[in-house]
Amino acid sequence: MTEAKKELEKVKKEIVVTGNEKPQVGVYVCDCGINIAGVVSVPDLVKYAETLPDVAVAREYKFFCSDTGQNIIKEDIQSGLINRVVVAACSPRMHEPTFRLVCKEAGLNQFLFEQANIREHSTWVHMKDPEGAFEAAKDLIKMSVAKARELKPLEVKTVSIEPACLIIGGGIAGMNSALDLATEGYKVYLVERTPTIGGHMAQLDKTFPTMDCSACILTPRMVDVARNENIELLTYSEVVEVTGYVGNFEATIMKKPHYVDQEACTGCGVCVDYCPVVTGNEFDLGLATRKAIYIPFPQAVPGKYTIDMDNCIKCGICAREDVCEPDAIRYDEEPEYMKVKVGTIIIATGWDLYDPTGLKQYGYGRYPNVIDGLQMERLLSSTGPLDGKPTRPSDLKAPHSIAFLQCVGSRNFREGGNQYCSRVCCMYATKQARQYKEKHPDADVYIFYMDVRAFGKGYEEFYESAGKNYGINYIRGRIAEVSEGEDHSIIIRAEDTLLQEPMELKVDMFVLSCGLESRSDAGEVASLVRVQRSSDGFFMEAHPKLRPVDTLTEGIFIAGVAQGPKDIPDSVAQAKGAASSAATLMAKGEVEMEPFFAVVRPDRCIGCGMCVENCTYGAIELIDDRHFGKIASINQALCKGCGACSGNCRCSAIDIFGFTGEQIFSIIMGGEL
Amino acid sequence: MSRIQYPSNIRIVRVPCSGRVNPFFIIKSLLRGWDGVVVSGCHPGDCHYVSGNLVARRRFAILQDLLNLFGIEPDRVTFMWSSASEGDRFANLIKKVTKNIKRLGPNKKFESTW
Amino acid sequence: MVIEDQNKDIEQLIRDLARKLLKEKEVDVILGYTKGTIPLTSLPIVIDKVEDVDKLIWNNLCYINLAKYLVPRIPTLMNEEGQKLKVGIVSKGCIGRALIHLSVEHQIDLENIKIIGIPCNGIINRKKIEDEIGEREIFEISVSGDNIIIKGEDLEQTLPFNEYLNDLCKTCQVKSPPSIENICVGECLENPVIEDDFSDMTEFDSKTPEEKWEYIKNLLDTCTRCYACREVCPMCYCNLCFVDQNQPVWFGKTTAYSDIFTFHLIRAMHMAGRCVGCGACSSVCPMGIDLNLINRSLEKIAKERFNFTSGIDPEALPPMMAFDMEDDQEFMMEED
Repeated sequence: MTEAKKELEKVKKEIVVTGNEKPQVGVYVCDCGINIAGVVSVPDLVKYAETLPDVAVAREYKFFCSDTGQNIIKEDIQSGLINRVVVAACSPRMHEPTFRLVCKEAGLNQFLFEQANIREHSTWVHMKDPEGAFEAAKDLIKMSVAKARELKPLEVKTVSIEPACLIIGGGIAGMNSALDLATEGYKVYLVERTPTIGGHMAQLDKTFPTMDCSACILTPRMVDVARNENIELLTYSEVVEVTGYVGNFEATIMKKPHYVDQEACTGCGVCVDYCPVVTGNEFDLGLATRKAIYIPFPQAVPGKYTIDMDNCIKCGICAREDVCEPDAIRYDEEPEYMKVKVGTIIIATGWDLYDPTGLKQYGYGRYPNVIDGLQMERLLSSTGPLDGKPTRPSDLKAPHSIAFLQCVGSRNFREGGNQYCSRVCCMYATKQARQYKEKHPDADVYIFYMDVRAFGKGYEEFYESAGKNYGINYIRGRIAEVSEGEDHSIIIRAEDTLLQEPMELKVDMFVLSCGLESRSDAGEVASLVRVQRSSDGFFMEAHPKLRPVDTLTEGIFIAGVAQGPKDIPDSVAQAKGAASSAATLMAKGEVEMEPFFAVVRPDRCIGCGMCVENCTYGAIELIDDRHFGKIASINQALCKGCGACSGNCRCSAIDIFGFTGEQIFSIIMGGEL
Repeated sequence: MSRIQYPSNIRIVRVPCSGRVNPFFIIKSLLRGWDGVVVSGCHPGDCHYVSGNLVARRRFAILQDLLNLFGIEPDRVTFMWSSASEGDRFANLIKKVTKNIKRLGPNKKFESTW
Repeated sequence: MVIEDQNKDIEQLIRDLARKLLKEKEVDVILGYTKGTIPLTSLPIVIDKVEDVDKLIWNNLCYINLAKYLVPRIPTLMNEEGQKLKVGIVSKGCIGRALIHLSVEHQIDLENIKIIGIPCNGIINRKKIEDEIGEREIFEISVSGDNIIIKGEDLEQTLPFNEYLNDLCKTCQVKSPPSIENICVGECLENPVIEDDFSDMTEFDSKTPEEKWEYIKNLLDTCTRCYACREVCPMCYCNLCFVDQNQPVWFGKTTAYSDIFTFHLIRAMHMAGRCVGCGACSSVCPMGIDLNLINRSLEKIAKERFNFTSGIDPEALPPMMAFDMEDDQEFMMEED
């Protein structure tokens, strides 16, 4: 504790505000550097604030969120000058907690604070209209002062936190979060919808820029997850419902039927030899086949078999005693549902690869030798369908020339494209090109790019070396269209934008470096857990800089590409960050809830039951009160303070703390009656 | 949001959820002489409070019908969905609202009560 | 059958059923209508003895919605045996609807009610008669055949019944109460189906906002805010009506049009999906304001937006008590 803080602690006395005494409002107008002061005259705002009813003092400072700024407010509270605080500054999303703490530390009830958002709601959005911004800021201050006069002290409520975390998605991000939390002693439910954990990383061959073998670094982690006794691994499962709130979520998880008893199955694999059904293997992106009874790939965790009922013909061979010795086949298995109570949730649902079929000019899906980046990865993989010896799909011959096209579906402002940079494609194409050159030094490899973005640690060096030491040809230019030549070769028509001349190139194989997209069903997950998504479809963080792993829903965090495109190190870093944030919350054992819940005025309530039906949290019930008869009663532990009940109540019998009818009335009236 | 510019003649009142918005808030604003009222909430399915906006949507549908019945121009009171990530949409809708209200002119119906 | 004969039959039905229910101790009291003390009115009456049953009447001036008298007192009253008071209630369609809706809103327990269903043949609109007669005093009003006979000082006039009905009664499709097992006796409707094209609203709907404003303003301008409409309404059972609330005072208590406007608009808001279309509010208005237009709009909104008609199905929730992801939102603003 600093000396100043100790000093303050010494003089600190609880300022008792019952809400009935005359309000004395302190208005603190923040310059926010030039964010506010650069657009409107803060001294004039201060002068205006002084004229408002019940304003005892109005002050200006460069940054009220700074230590010095906070102390200015504290001193005014301590000296008894004010009993209500209005800070006119940024969004309450940003600094409401800061200034509430200021009040608390100075001995004033923290809910006697109101923030006027004159930055996001005025100077930023009306930057080009300073006069309008000034008028808006004045009104926002007037409205906040009006509300502040009606504020009443409130008590925070605390609820205990279930020391358990639900992690949705078992890729590299979800696994890392799970391992960190489990190691810290928290119970983890890791839900993965495919039959194995590992995610997209399991499909990769080598990883840039270090060229580690992806499987070699991933597989041990997968085994760690399976072995950790604090982790309950729920593969081939989906979260179907989430209720509750921070500290006390209840999730319903559907375990899809494997049609193979996972306890009994020994993973021997005899059934696969007998299964007569051959179908495309999702893991190899259709480049190889699997049987109807399968594990996705040899290192899958858990290494137990699943029957793909969409393709199974129910011939019954695998169920034969001589085929499945442990008698594990269960054709009539039904989905199972389980409920878990958790304090926190981490969303790590990962990504889908951009589907280039819509970009007709590149011939994907029409010409056999046009493939996407992930397919190339499988072709290069030593565990892939070709044992790491890539050949072109049309004739299974090793191509003499390969061209890569960057930014497929990314950095594209036209319809059907994504505007963002997918961050990994430059590097994965470079890596794949280099891998191919290592195997076929005499092959010609071209990479068509817009800009090469090699921003990570060791990336620039990797890129430099690709050109210098491996002879990979980087051509800056967009490809106009491709066509198929004789022998299924690909003829590329492009413009070299550095030389500013058109060019034509014939290659044996053409790889589209597709970008990453949010999962096609991310919207459903968002609705399920009630978090928001950014306009690009990825889950939205609470603050792009300062709270990159939090969501706006307390207790729910995001990890990995679910939040936006990332490479593996960034995904892991964010996963560890999410685990840490979840642990920080759970370590306290309890969480403070804003006391903004609904309250019933029993004298007004007539017990019609409308609020009971309107409440999504089941927080309201009709009770028989000894004095008032049948009335609504609020369970404050369940109430989240949305106000749906209050907005409909004919009797005005329900009010919402923090947003009472009187407070909103005075805002509308601007403090005048 | 995202510093996208929109007209400066709107004032924002913070409520926890569109579900909190009682018809009185809207009527009182009109009585008070505001030229228009906008209620903005999260898109259906994305409600921070699960279904507060769905409760609100029924309320607002009825209120809008009744305002029309009583002869209040439909553009005086606007309901819209706009999520926290849709700065562009919010700005565009606010521009549309101000354009509509400018076309209607000042709200003079309740002048006597101001 | 002419109206005069219908009335006789209905009255006989009421008396027979009331006598039977009281005799067999199915109910403790009967709530019904009796003759009013001045012309153009009727009065509610509570009968608890078989010998008083003949005081019960039916005529086309029985405009009061008797369900009003059940809330909030009756559910708490006990009979002599210390059980919840059992009430038989003379019910035209709109009273039956009110009872069902009140039970949905937890205000009455239908188990303590016996609905004495009658086939209502319409309520005479007092305002229309008065407009016809002018200032002249009326001594007596009766129905003869299909005509209304009005007698008064220097006055004897015959008016065709159908033209002097409440507009609400003309569009009414629930003339008898919807039938509920073990609750209803007399003439009731099994599974009523409401099909309404609201064609009576078309003309008003086609008006411009300015025309609507003027029309409604003219209609309501004479309102003195006596709240008779509220007092007679079976759905107005709040402890403290919004017009009487303070903290905050959302709108003034004057008869300036802005306050009248707010009163009627918010009242309509509170009635949406709840109004049972009995028209009692219009019948009792001392200023003769006919709220038919507003009440029909409320039915229209509930029916067309939410496919709901109040007081038909005791299991169905009114629009504001429910929500649905799939609700229409055509009224919400979208980007161009």
